[in-house]
This record gives sequence, C-alpha cells and structure tokens, in this order.
Amino acid sequence: MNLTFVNPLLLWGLAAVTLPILIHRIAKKKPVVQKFSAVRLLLQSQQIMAKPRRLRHLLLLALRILALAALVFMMARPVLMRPGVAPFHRDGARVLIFDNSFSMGYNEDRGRRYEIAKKALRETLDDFGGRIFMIPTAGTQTAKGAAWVQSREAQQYADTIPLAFGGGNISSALQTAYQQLKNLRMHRQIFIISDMAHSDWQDLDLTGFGNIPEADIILLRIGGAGRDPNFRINDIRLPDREVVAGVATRLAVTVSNLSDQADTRQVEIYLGDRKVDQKAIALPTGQDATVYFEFLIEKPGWQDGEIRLSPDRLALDDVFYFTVKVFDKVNVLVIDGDPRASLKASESYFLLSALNPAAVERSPFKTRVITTDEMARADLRHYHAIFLLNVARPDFSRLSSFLETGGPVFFFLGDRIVPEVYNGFPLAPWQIRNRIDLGESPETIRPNGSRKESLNLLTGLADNLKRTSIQTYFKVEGTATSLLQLGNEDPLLLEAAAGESKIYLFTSSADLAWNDLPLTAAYLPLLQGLVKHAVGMTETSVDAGIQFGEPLNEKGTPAQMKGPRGGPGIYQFRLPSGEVRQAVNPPAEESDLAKISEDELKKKFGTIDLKVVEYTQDGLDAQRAGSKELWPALLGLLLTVLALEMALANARLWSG
Amino acid sequence: MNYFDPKVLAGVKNLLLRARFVVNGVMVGIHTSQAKGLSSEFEEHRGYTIGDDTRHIDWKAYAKFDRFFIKEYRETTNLHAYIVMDCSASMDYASDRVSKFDYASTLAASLTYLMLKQLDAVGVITFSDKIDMMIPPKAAHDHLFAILNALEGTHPRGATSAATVLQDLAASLKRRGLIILISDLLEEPQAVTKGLRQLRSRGSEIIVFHLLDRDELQFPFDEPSVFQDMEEDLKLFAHPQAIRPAYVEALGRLIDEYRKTCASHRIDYSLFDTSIGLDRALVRYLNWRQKFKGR
Repeated sequence: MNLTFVNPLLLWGLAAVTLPILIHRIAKKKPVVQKFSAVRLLLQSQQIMAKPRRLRHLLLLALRILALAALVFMMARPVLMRPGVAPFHRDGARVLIFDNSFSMGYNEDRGRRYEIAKKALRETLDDFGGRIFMIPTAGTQTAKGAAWVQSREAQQYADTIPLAFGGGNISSALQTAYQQLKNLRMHRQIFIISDMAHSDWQDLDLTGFGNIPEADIILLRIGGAGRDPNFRINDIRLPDREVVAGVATRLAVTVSNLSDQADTRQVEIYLGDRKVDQKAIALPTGQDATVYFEFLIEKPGWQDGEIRLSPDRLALDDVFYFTVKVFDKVNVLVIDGDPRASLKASESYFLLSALNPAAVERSPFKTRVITTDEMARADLRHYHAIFLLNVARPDFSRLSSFLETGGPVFFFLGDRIVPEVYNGFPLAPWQIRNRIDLGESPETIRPNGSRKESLNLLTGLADNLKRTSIQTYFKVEGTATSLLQLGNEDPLLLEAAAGESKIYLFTSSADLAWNDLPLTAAYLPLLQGLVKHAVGMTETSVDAGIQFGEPLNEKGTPAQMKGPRGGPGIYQFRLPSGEVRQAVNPPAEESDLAKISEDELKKKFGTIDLKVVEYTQDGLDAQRAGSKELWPALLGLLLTVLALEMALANARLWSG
Repeated sequence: MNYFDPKVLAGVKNLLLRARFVVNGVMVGIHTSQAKGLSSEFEEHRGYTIGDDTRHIDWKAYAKFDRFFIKEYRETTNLHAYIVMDCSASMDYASDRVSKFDYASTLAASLTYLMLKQLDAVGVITFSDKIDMMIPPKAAHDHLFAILNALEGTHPRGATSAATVLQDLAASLKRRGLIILISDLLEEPQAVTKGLRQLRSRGSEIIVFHLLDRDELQFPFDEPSVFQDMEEDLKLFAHPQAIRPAYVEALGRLIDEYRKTCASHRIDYSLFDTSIGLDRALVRYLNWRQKFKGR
C-alpha cells in the first residue's frame, strides 16, 4: 500500500497545527500569587478536582491539533494506492501453471492447500475474457487441457486436475508456457499457482529455454514463505538382510523430522493388516532418528508391511510401504567322512558350529549329519545343500541327480580323499592332483577378486583370511573359478556350474587337521555366506521399494494390493519365474516443505520481472491493484473531532 | 455612624476607644442594672465630692470627724475569665481592610472592657503554636489598660497550634472559670476539640468565637492562582472555579465538626464572619453571662 497526495504542496499547511499550541500558551495566564490561610483545605480539594481539569485542557488541545491536521490532509487529497498484482488484464492470453504436486496435499488451518489453490485458480479465471492454457506441474496433461480454451472450459478442466502423488516439474511447465505464448500477438500473462516448495523449484533453469517471449509472470503463493513442519519415514533397513520363516527379525525404521522444532511421534508397524508393534520416537529438530522393531513370520513367501506415523498435516507421507520376501530355512545335509566318537574330533564339528552358532531356532539353517554309509539311504530331495567332508567315495550319481534339482554341493577334502576317485566325477571341471604338505611354512589365504558377487561376500573377510595358515592341501587344476587362493596362487576354494546348480571344492580339510581356518572369525560368515549365495538367498528380504514416479523394477502391468489407487502402495507382478511384489512410496524430497525464497527465485528469473503475491484468505480481490481516495474518511474524522471539541469545551461537568 | 461595623472601627486606632464604642453601643440598647459585684469588701475612705451617692456616706466617720467621707469598696467577683486569642499568621488574613486579627483584638478589648465594667476578673492569653503572652485575670479597673496595651503590642505571626495551647492551659489552670477562645481554628478539629474537652472536664466554661474571613467562607476567587499558605510552606496552583465546590464542602465539614463537638460538650460555639458587626459577639457573651448568673 502506498499513500500519495493529489495536492502535496498543501501539506505545508500542517505547520498550522502549531497554532492551537501557541494559542493555548498565550491564553494561559500567568498565575497570581495569592496568600491564603486555608491552603491545606484547598489541597484536599485539588486532589479531587485538578486532574480532570488538566486532562480536559490537554484533550482540547489534542482535538484542536487533530482537527487542523485532518483539515490539511483532507485538502491535500490523500490517495491510497494498492500495487497488488497490477494490472489484471481481462483479455489477452493467459497460461495458468497449476502446482498439483504431492506437497500441495498439506492441510492448513483454513483447509487443504490443494483446495485453496483450486479456489485461487478459479478466481484467476473469473471475469477473464481472453484465451487460457492450463498446465498442471505434476502428471501428464490430458488432451482436453492441452489447448487454448475460454474461461468456462478452463473452469471445467480445472475441476478434473487431480492432486498428484509425485513431485511437480515447474521447469517443464514454464517451458511449455513460453512455447505456447511465443507466437501470440496479444497481451501475455503467466500465472503460477504453487506452494513454492523448494524441491519442485530448485531445478528450475531458464538458460535452456531459448528465446523467452515477453510476458507478465505472477506467482500466487499458497501457504506462506516459511517452512511447514512435516515428518516422514525416511527408510527401513534389515540388519540381517534376509528374513527366514520362524526366525525373529529386527527392522530398523528411520524417521525424519523435517521441521524447525523437536517433536515426539508414534511409529507403528503393520504386517498384512495386523499391527505388530508400536513405539514412540523422539525427533530432534531437523534430524533423523531410528527405532527398531522385532517380528517373526512363520511362513515363507511374500509379506506386505506398512510403517505408519502418527498423522501430521501432510498425511500421504505418514504411511511407508514395504515388502518382505520370507525364505524357508535352508536344509543342509552334512556327510561326515571321518566321524569320531567325540563330537569335537569329528570332521563336521566346526562346520555345524558355523551354520548354527546359537540356538537352532534362531538360525536360518537346519542341519543333519550322516555318515558315508547313510548317504545311500538318505532322501536328498529334502535338502537345499549338501556338504561332503573328507568323504572317500561319494555317490556321484546321486549327487548329480541332486545338482539337477538346483541344490549346491560342497566338497571339503582330507586325508581320506583319493584324487582319482574325485577326478571321476563327470560334472567336476577340475582335476585333483597331488597333496601338498607345507610343514613349517604354511601359506596364507587371499581372496580372488576376479568374481564380483563372490568378492562382495569375501570383501569384509580379507583381513581375517590373510591371517589363516594352510599347512596341507590338494593341488587342483581346471577351469573352475577360484574364489580363494593361497599365497602361492594355488586355489583353495573353487566354484563351478554343475547341472542346474553349482559345486564348490575346498582343497583343504574342514577341521583343524590341515589348516586353522575354523578358528578364525572369517569362518562363520564365509560358510554361511557361501551357502546363502549357493541357494539363492542373495537378495535382502525387505524391500523399501521405489519412489513414486520412478520406473518399476519389473516389466508388465502390476496389480495394486495396497495404498491409494494409482499412488504409493504395494504392487504385485505375476512373472513366469513367480510372484514379485514391490513397494512404492511418496517421493522423499516432496516431504520437505521448505520454500524457495524470493531472492533465490529472482536469481533464477534474472531480468524477467516476477511478481510474487501471497494468496490470502481474502481471495484474489485483495491482491488486485487499486486506489482509494481518503478525503471522505478525513471529512468524517474532522466533523467528529469538531463535535467532540465543542462538547468538551462547553461541558458543565468540566467547567466546574 | 455604625460603631459595630468592623470597617468603621478599623479607622479608630485606639483600642480603648474601639472597645468603648462597641460596649457602650451595646449597652445603650440594654436596660442595665449596674452590677455592684456579688460581694463588697471595704477598701478606703475618701472625701465627699458633689455628685457622690449619699448612700455611701460614712455617717460614723462624720460623727467623729464632722466631715463627710465616702466609703470605697473593692468589688469582688465569682467569675474569672481568660480571653484566649489566636495570634498566628493566618489571623492576619484580610479580604478587606479588617483582618481577622484586628477583629479578634477589638473583640477581646470589648469583652475585657465589658467584663471589667461588670466587675468580672478578666485575663488575656495570646498564642500561636504556643502561649506567647499571658495576663492573669483581675477585676481592677486599671487592669483594662494593661490588657489593652498588651493587645496593641501584639502582632500576628507563626504557625497555629490551638490544640497544644488548650491542652497546656488545661494542665496549668488552677481555678475554674470562663475561657473565651477567639481563633480561626484552621487546624485538625479532632486535636482542637480534644483540648477543649480537657478544659471542660476541669470545670471551665468555654465560649468559642470561630472567626473566618468572607474569602475563607465563600472562596470567591476567579483567576487561576498560586495559593500560598500564610503559616506553612505550602503552595498550590489551582483554578478557583474548579476547586470551589470541593473547598466549600471541606470547610463545611470542618465547621460542622466543631459545632457538633462543642454542642455535645456544652461549649458555646459561634461562627463569625469578620465582615459583620462585633455587637453580635458581645450580645452572645451577655446572653451567656445572664445564663451563668442564673446558675
């Protein structure tokens, strides 16, 4: 608002306000000193009467000054100018860019921001007689919208624009706007209605727009310039990677506080439609915090999950979807070729300890140990993996059948091994040669980095493996992949495809007879990792999915199982290889409701004039430019002041 | 010429003359039976001169000395009166030619003259915040001059504390009598009436002549003024129109309190505007005297 005057020179008349002051001073007689005998009685009277009398004089003086000032101002004819978003042309071409991104779903005290923006949009269309082109910032524009239309059609189209589940692309919308306006020879305007969320605006770059036609740009901001508080589930993580049926699992949930104040929120975990647990989480200002949940799923297969936050003003990101692929327990058959009366002396002792380090019910592996003789009677179909430890004469035909079913076989050598017997295994791509006994000069192990997936497994173990001593091993040759090798480059662990599965050969013993590997910290993760890798338990069970707007991992048309229709949720793919589920969550950057500053905006627009106007509850009319003469109000003020002055000057109450 | 008019009297410098004017003027209108005193005590003989009352010739002395002698008596009285006069600075206030002090002096002199004429013993006390001068009561004729001389030599000054003076007087008086208090009584009424009550409780009769100037009664000022107190260091700037109602009301409360307290203790209280004649005050006294004789 600017105040201007039609006759500003007349404001010099304000000097006249000194007149009442001078008159009051001149009229004020110098008091006579009067000796009197009853001043004490007078003092009692003065306490009651003197104050109103003084107040009356001051009031009269103030009223007279005010009357003169009002008169002078009135003669100077003040005009209140409201700059607003002037001028609101009623014709020409107007492009309306409407922000329907996810962040517009924020609930203000006066209603949902998206609905307020719709109201603003309708107001921009009112009384407009020109051509209108509408561009929503999120989602694809429908054919109906992608055309120049009149106000009424634009109103109808505006009603059909949905609130999107993803972010908006202001840059693309603005580029389209300029393209549409480029060839028009009339007054051009671009109206942008947006919450100005930083995430949508930060990538705006006009440098690639080419020639930008001249157009008024008016940005109607919805929701103020400050950051709106919001909370969001940022991520979930499974420390154990895989979830196995019947084995308790811990899930780490990270919550972000995207506001400028600390708060405590409640986090709930749902599996299927059942609430499993809930916890409160303290969230420091602007920081993340993690809360852990423990749960147990009895059956293998797919499990849907949700993490829910106690609702805030942006409800859509208070639910986080995830999927759990629950694995069955891995049945491992161990054929001990050198069983002993003492368990610890057995070949299989350290292997079993590595696969079941704690209670069996907490392990993803279920193991059974048999002797070589028992192998003939064992039903191998029940097992996912087979270990042969120092077995002199394995039943290679049964093993071949097992490999055809997809199960891996692990060979650990030892003093009972006859190389010629093992070299007769037709699926093995290696030849076992002579036994090498290093005696007092054992070799250490070094991982072979030639295979990436194996490298991932062994990367964290390298330091421990380097401290391992191998005294005795079989020298092996062949085309198999060497996962581990000795310092002298002889292979220690080999991997090779066999049938539908893989076979593994460890060229030393499984117990402490030939090496001290079972005593190192690397032994347990090495063995467990190998088995999981071999049986296909390589992917993490819990999938936080993708963000809305990103392409789905699988091809095909998924069925939505959870979540708002067409939005975030859980999607199911039925593929030839089996069922796959994928979680889709709102884009993380849309949850941060920080706004782009006007300075930042002006930098982006450079020399292009941009007017940013806050859309208030009073509607768009309050933002339009206009002017108002103030002299009638001043005349009213003058008459009121004069009436008051007369009343006060003649009041008997005051005159005493 | 109205000899009761204070303005007229103010033109007469001699206090004795003023007193005579006032008293004789009052007496002219009253049918008097000259008081001889309630008892007579022989004092001396003197030679007869023409005009002496033959009833006072001592015939025994004539028989002895063959000459006429007149017996002279010293009149005695049962009334001892103190005129207690306020001589503080506030008594000097005068809206016209006559100050409250002038009025009070003339009143005191007139009362003295009248009482001595009626053969009563009269003394005078002047005070401000303490007793300034004290002349004990006597009924002798020449006592008049002593009192008048003392009054003429007194000037108003200092603060007032009638309350203190009355309380001191109550403590020091050994004989019951009449106390005539002449003052403007511009003090706290509670303290003054306390002193009056103490005097009254010791058997003294009390007459209060409360003198106030017309200005003090009506507060007729118009101009905004700085009012400066005549006794204390008090100043007040005020618009008289604004504070007049409250002042008159406060003064009314003061007078009412004196009037009620005096009435309840059988003290004769009279308020005098110093612009009205002194005869009213003397008549007031004579009425009281008449009642006193009847007791």
